[in-house]
Amino acid sequence: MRFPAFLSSRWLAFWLVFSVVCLTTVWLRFQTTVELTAFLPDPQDDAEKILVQRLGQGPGSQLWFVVLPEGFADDPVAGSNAFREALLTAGLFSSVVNGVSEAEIADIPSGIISNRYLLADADFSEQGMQDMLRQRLMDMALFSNEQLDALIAVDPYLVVPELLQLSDDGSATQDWITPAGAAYLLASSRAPSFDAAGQTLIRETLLQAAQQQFGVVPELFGVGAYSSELQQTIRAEVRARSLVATLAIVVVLLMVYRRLSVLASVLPLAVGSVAALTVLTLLFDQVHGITLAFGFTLFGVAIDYPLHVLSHLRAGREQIRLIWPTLRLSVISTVAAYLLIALSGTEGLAQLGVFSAIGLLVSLLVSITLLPDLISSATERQRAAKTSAAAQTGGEAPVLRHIWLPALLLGALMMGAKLSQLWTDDLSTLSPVDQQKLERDRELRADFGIPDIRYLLYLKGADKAGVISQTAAAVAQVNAGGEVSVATAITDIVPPENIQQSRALAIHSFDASTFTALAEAKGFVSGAFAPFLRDMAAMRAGTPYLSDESWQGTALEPFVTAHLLQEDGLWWSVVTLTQVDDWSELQNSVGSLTKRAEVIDLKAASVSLVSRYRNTVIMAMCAALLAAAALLFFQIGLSTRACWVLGTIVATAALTIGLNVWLLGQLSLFNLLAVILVTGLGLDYALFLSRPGNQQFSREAVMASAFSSAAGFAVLAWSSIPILASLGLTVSSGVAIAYLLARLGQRQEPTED
Amino acid sequence: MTIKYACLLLVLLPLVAANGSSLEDVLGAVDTVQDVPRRYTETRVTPKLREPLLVSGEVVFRSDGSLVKTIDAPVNEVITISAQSVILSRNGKARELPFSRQSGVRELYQGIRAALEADVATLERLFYTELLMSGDSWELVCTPRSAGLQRELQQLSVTGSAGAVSGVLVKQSEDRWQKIEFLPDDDPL
Repeated sequence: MRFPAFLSSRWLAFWLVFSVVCLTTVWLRFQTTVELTAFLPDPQDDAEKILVQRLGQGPGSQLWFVVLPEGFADDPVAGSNAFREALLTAGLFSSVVNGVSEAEIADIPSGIISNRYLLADADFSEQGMQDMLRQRLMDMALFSNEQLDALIAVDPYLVVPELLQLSDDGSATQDWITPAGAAYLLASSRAPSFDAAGQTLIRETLLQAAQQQFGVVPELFGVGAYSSELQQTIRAEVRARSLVATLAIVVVLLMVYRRLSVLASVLPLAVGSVAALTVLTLLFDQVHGITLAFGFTLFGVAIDYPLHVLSHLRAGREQIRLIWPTLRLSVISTVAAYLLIALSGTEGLAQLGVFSAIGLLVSLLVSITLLPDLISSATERQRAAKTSAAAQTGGEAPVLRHIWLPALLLGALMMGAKLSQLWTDDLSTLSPVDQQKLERDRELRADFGIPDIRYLLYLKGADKAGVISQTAAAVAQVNAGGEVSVATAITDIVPPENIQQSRALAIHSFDASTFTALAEAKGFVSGAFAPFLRDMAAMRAGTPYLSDESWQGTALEPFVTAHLLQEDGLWWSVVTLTQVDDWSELQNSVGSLTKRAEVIDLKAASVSLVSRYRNTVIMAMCAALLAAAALLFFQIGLSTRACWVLGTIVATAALTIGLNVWLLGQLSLFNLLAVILVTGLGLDYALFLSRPGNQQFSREAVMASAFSSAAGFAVLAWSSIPILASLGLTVSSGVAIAYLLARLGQRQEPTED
Repeated sequence: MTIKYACLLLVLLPLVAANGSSLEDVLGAVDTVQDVPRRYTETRVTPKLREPLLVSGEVVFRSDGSLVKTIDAPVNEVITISAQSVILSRNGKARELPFSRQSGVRELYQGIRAALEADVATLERLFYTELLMSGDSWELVCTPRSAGLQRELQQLSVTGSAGAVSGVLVKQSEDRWQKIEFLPDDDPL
C-alpha cells in the first residue's frame, strides 16, 4: 500500500460525497434488532435449544405486575376496573387481569367454548346428567345472577371455568385489592420481553395512565418492566457519563496539544463510524444493538490515528509520510484481528468484527488524507519546523526495556491464583435490577400462581401425537406427586388423540330428550339449557379433533408456540411448573415420578451457553493475536522489535486480565471485549514507541491517546450500572498498563521501517 | 280526620323512633357469637327455576372473619364466604364459585355476611342505609353504593329485634331474590 497523496480539496470533496452516500445508505437501509439469538453460538444440548427457542417468549416473561398504591382511589375496585379498561384500550396488552372485573362469556376465547367437551371430561350418562343438574340446582340455591345463569345455560357442566383456571391466573393467594386499598393487576404484553422499544412504550403507557387517572406512580414488576427500566437507566447514565467522558478527553487533548484544532480529530472517527455502519447495512439485514454498543468501544482504537497525525504534523508534513509504515502496520494488524473475530461463527460477532475493522480503516484514511490540510496553517508549519529540529535530538534511553517480561509473569501469576474463578458466565450478576425487587417479583409470581420462568419440564420425540400423549401422562404423574404441580402444558388445549376420541364418543352418546326431561323434573324452566342443547347438537354432527393447528390465528396461538416446538426434526413439549423452591428436590421428585420428562434449569443453560460463547471469543482472540503476530513478523521481520512489540501486548493483555480479576472478583464477556480494545491500543503504542527515528511526537501522540482513553473510560468505571463500570475499569486500567509497559520499555530502532 | 292522623302516625312512627336510635346503637347491641352455629331456613326465587328453592342448614361466624353456611337440605354442602372468595365444598371437593372474585358478586357476599353479622362498618361502606324502628323490632334497608354492587343487587333488608338479627332479604330483581331467616335455638328445623 502506497502512502496516499495529499490532494486536499479532492480528498475533502471525496470524503464529503462518501459521507453523504454512506448516510443516505444508512438512512435507507438501516434496521436494528435486539434479537439475542443472533449473538449466541449454536445451541448444543436440549436445555440450550429450549433456552434459545424461548428467549424472551415464555408465557411468564411477558407478564407485567402493576401495583397501584394504597389510597390510589376512593373506590379501589372501581379504580382498578377503570385502569384495566384504560390498559386494554391502549392495545398493548393481550389481556389484563385485575381479579375483580366483570368477565363476560364473550371474553372467553371462542375455541375454548366450542371445544369445551373435547378439552375436559363430562359425564353424559343419565346418572351423570342427574348429578350435574342437582349440583347446578344447588349452585342456584347458593347464588344466581344473570352471568351465572348465562354460563350454566351454555355450560351446565362448568368445565369452562376450570379450563380457564388452567391457563389463566392459576392458584392466586394474593388479594387483588388489599384491605388497605392497594390494587394488583396482571397485564400480558403483546410485545415479547426482548422487544426493548415495545417494553419501554408499555412502561410509559402504564405510568402515564396511573398518573392521569389517579395521580400516582405504580410499582411495576416483570421481565419487561426491568428491561425498560434498565434501558432508561442506561440511557440516562450513558448520556451523563458520555458527556463527562467527552469533556475529560477534550480537556486531556487540549492540555497536550494546546490548540483547538485538536478537536478536528473527531472527524475521522465520525466518518469511520458512518462507513462502518453503511457496510453493516449492506452486508446484513439488521444491525444488532449489541454491535452498535460494543462496536463503538472496539472502534476506540481509531482515536490514535488522528492523534498521531496531529502530533507528527508539528514536525512537518514529511513526518506523516515517515509514520505511514507504522500506522499501516498498526491498522492492518488490528483490522486482521477484528476480521478474524468476525469469522468466529456467530452473526453478532461477525457484525462486531466488520464494524470495527471498517471503522478503523476509514478512520485511518480520513486521518491521513484530510486532517493535515484541515489543521495545519502557515504559522503552525513554521512552529513545527522549529520543534522538528529540536525533536531530532529528543531520543530517550529506555527505562526498563524488558519490563513486559515481569509484567507478563505477574499477570500470569494473578490469573493463575484465581484460575478456578476467573470467569463468571452468570450474566445476572451484572444485572442492575435491585435484588429486593427481584425477590418481590418472585413472591408475586408465587402468590398469583404464575409459572416459574426458570425451571421447565420437557419431552421430545419424532411423533407429535406421541409427544402430546406422553406429556399428558407426565403431567398426571407430576401432579399426583403433590410436591410440584404443572402450571401449563400443551395438553391443556390439545389433549391426546385417544382422550379426545373417548370424549367425542361421550358427546355422541348424549341424549337431548333425556337431558330435557331430567332438567324439567329438577324444576328448571323450559329452555333453561337451550344454548347447551344447540351446541351439543352441533358437536354431535361432527367436531374435528383439536390439534396445534386448530389454534392458529386465535388468542391461544402464542400459548401453543410456547409449549410445542419443532427443532431438528423433533417435536418438543415444554411444560411449565408452579414456583419451584428447591431445584434438587424438583429433580428428585420429577425423576421418581416420571421417566418421560426431563427437568431443565434455564439459568444453568444460559450459563453454559455464555461459557461456550466466552470460549469462542477467547479462541477468536488468540487467533487474532496470532494473525497480528504473523503480520508483524511479516512486515518487520523476525527482529527484536517484533518480539518486544508482541511481548508487550501479550503482557498488557495478561496483566489487564490478572489485575481485573483481582479488582472485580470475576470477569465476564464484557471484560473480554474490553481486553480486545486494550490489546489493540497496546499494539499501537508499542509499534509507535519502537518506531525508528524521531520519537518525540510518537510519545506525545501515545500519551495523548492513553491519557484521553484512560480518562474517558475511568468516568464509566464510576457508573452505577455494573456492566458499564466493569467495562470502564477494565479499559482504563488496561490502557494505563499498555501505556506504562510501552513507555517504560520504549525502544528506539536504529533504522527506518 | 282521626283515621288520617292515625295513618300518618303509623307511617311516621318508625321514622320518629329511628331518629332516636342510631345504626351503631341498634346493630351494636346485636350479639354475634363466633364459632357457634345458628340454624336458618332460606327461600330462593330465580327465573331459571319454576318453584322457589327451599334450603335449610346452619351458619357459623368464624373467628377468622369468614362465614360458613352448612346446608343440610336438600343436599349436603358447605359454603365458605371470606373477604376474597366464595368456596363451595360438595361431595368432599372444594371449588370456587364462578364469578365470585368479581367486584359486584364479592361485595354482594360481603354485604350478606355483614348483614348476618351486623357488621356496621362493612354495611355502611357498601350501602346507603336507612334504619326503621318499630318498638323492639327494626329493619335496616340497604341500597348499594357501587355500580358493581348495583348490578347484582337492588336492595338488602336486614330485620331483627332486640339484640339479634332475625332475617335477611336479598333482592336482586323482581324475579330473583332470597330470604334467609334465623330460627330460634329451640326451634326444630
